[in-house]
Amino acid sequence: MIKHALKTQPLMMWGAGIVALLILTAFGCQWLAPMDPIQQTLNDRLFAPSFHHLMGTDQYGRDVFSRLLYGSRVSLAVGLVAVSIYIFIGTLVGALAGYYGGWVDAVLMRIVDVVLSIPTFYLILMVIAFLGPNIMNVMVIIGLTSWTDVARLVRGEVLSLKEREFVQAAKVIGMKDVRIIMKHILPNAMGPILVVATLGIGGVILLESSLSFLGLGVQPPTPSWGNMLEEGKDHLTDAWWLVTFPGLAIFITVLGYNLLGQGMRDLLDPRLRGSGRNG
Amino acid sequence: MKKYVLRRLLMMIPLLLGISLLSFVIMQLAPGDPVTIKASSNSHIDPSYIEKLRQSYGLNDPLMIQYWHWLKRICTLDFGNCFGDNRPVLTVIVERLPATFLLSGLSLLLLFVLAVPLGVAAAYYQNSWLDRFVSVFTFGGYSIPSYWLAFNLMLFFCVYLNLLPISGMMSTEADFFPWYQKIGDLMSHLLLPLFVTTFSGLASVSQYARSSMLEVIRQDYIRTARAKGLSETQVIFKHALRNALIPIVTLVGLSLPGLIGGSFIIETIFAWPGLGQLGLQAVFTHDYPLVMGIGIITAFLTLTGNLLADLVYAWLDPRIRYD
Amino acid sequence: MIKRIFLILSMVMVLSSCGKVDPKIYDQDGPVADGDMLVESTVGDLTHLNPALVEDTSSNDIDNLIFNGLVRYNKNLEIEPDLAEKWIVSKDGKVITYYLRKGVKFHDGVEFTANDVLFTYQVFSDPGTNTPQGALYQDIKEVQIVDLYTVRVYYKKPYAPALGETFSAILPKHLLEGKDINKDEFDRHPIGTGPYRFVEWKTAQKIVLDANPDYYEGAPHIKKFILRIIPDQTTEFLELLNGGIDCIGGFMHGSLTAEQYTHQTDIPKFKNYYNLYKTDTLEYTYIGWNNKNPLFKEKKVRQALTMAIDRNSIIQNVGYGLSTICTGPFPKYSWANNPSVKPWPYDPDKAKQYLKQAGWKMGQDGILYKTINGKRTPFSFTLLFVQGSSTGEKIATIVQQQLKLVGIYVELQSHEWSTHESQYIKPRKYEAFIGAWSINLDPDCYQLFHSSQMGENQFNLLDFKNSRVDELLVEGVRTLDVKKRQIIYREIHKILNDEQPCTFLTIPSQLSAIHKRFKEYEMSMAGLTHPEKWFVPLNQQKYNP
Repeated sequence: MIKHALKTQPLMMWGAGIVALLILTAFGCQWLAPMDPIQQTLNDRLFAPSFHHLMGTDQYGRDVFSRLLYGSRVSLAVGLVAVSIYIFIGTLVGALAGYYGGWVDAVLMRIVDVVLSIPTFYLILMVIAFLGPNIMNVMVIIGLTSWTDVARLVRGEVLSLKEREFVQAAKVIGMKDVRIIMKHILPNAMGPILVVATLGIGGVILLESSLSFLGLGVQPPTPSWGNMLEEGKDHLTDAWWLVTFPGLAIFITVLGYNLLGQGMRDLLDPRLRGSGRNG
Repeated sequence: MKKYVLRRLLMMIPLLLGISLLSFVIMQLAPGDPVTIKASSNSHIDPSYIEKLRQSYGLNDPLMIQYWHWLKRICTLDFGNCFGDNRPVLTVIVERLPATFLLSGLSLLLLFVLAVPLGVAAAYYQNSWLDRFVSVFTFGGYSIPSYWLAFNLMLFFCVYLNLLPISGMMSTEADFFPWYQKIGDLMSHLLLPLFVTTFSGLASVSQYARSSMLEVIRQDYIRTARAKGLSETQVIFKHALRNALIPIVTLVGLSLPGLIGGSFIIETIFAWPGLGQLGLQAVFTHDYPLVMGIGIITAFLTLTGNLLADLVYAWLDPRIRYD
Repeated sequence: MIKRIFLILSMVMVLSSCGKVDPKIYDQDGPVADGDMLVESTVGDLTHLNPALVEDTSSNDIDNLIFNGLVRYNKNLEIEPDLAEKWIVSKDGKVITYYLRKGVKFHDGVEFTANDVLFTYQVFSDPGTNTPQGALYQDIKEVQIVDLYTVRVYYKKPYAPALGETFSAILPKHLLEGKDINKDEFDRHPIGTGPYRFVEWKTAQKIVLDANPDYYEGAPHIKKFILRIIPDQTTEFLELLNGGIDCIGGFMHGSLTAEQYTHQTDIPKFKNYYNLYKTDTLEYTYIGWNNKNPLFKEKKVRQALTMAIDRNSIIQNVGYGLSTICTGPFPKYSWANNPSVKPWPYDPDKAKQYLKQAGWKMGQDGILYKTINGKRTPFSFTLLFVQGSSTGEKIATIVQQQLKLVGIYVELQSHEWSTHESQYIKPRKYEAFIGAWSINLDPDCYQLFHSSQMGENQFNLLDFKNSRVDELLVEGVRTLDVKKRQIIYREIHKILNDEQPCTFLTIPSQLSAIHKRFKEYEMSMAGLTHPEKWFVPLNQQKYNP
């Protein structure tokens, strides 16, 4: 499998590499970071990148490289938690709707339609602006508003799975619905869910950075890539390193998650597997 | 078909109810109220004025009553008046639609014109260097924080090269221009925001086109066509492409909330006077009627758009029958 | 497609390549000349232009160009004639007679008379008008037209701020009589007597004003004023570098950010074209102590708290050294400001002494303790600030660190803005908070410090009570003679400085950048004075409107 992946999906391997690197830095940042990411040293304000400060220092004299490393932890945490929440909700809703059908399906899918028809970003914006921005709110609210795609996907999977023999057989022997869903249906739908989750983490990291840019994301002094960009834009013309590095970090990370997710999709989905001209 | 349309139309009623309830509930999450905000930094505002404002906005009524009154009014398209400038919400929103439609509409158009061929080509040459290039290119566009890209472009094209105007829709002296120069002026203002919004959207459309094409290519009828000895061009353009493109119509429908809501941050950065900028401002100033109005109208337009997309889909794809 | 892009690009290049001038000529002075246009920008969209309905600064700034009041503040914050040539205050202070300027015309050509003054009073005092300024007109008993150019205003009791703050914009009776003032189109097409007349308002894009050739102080030299609405401050600054706007903080109250002012103005693109100015804003920041809380009840303690906080370090760390220390609720250059009041020094040792004298003893954990109501209480409290305000957060962090040095434990808590206001500050459910206040040009601060103003919707947020201050505040409002008022307010200033009901922190600065081609302007605390005098020498003019 891995050999096959390596051969046909080099981009996915790149993505996997980037993601692995991110996870490593997120866990290892206290050992990797040369300096304290929060402590201000006002004499060291706005130093350009040098050997001592690889990515320079910010307006409070903090080492940008160290902040970037610590920021990866925040980005990863926000991504993981938010995505876990919405995968959970989406899977639950999708499984119920798909498995039971009928009015349960109708009601749940109408709810999905309602949420889908308001731009997600606007929905998140409203709630955060009113509840106040902090890391918990950001994670939970992204999670609570972004589950609709997952719900549709899982519903589709469940619809096709529940007609399969092994599910029918389980029903005949009198297995409980919950058990059927948990034991037979969801494990088989895991692949696509994992793909959506991988792509989702990239999306959430991007979303958090947008919110931070508006001052509604993770609050300083905790470094997140988004609020580093937000603070850095005040120095757009005099300290390029303040916006360049966090911007690149977001770019590379999100790209990594997407390449990984995309590659996984190609590998998992038989319909997409090598069928083109070169297939 | 008629029955189907009618059913879909009826279906919109509970949806709209749900949307109105959702927006109302979100508003209630907000602590305090806008009147407090208005009055909290100016000692010359006297308490009786605050009370007067509260009454005129109906903020003293119980929640259910507030919702009921509000619901009754929005049925007649009366979304109340903005807290900010006291004009009807609908007027304020309609005023912003042209700018948003111009930017997002052009962006959507450009998106499909560019992304669909990219996606189709990527599918046809699956796993080739072209496929990979398309992936990296489009996902790259998606992964760049759009505001970051926007500022970098501004710095480079506007400040250093002095080629393009930075923000707004028209130059300040545009009033004295002849019409063709006005159009040129508008285009030059559009260029950067259009590029940023389009670039970030390429990935989803081209990936969708790619999967759709991949699926079609391995269908039996394509094999049959090939077996019949039709030329590759004929197979691809006459048979595969046509069928692969139909599902993309639904994607247009799905892109609608983004289109109508505009791009909140991009419009704000480029001082583009559209709905996105308005929405952001409404949220930040806690302008409840405006926030709710934008939510409802966006949702309404999205639902209508989805309906239209589905109808077009049904019309294009003879396999689908509705009764 | 590519062809088209090139076409557009070449068109743009043609557009932008015309009019490159050697920036050195902007340093020259030149003879006064008419012509050119001023393009400025503001971050917030305007809301109202009808002066009766205006609530925000930007709208008010525009109104100051379109309308005149009866009197106005000059740059020394003294009252001077505007539409009233002179005025006489009766001995008991209850009657003000205004003698109006003759021959002043509204922008539509109709002459301004006493009828408009009476009408303005009627609008502002009508409870049906959605005006935040209604309270100012409450004490007026009657406005009487003596003749077409003389108006007498009778007060129920003398009310000193009235002279400067009422009738600050005269509305045209002939356009508004009988109309619904809250909804009339006038709000978006205002007509006044001011130096500039309204031309166009494109929501979220721009407001266009033209010079008023009939302005009573002479037609303005600058022919056109355009206010662009640019919501993002970074974009605003790039526009400045690119020449898309001529100034920030000129006719309006806009400001560069501290980062832009200190770090980004040293490049040729900026230096060659713009002059920088720094003026005090009419605002101050403070730490409000809950004066009813047993912790802060004693004056000695509040003084000690002020001495334990290094305001200079706050100024350096939070605002790049651009703001100044604040000692009281009056502008520094106002006649009400007491020059003998010096800011409390930063002196943690003395602060410790004061706290000791107030009965606080150092515990083993490095925190002060005192027995209050039979309970051994540590000196610890929660400092509130508004979430998302980076200034508030930075100040709070510094205060927390510094108070720790004298043995006071501070917990920080932030809430979303409206929660902060409505659940904590207004109901006085707080121990201490970081606040900001905007001051009026008249020194009256009855609402802030009088003990009768402690209700939930009232503004004595500190619950401060001092009988002498109460007396003085009433006297200050009832006395119309400026010399006597000066003595009163200077005493208030002294007492407030001694009492420290709150720790006055800083006065932020307005940081303006104005294109060098504009000459003959003055920047002052009172805002814009004499916009009609600004001009651009002929050889430096940029636009030809």
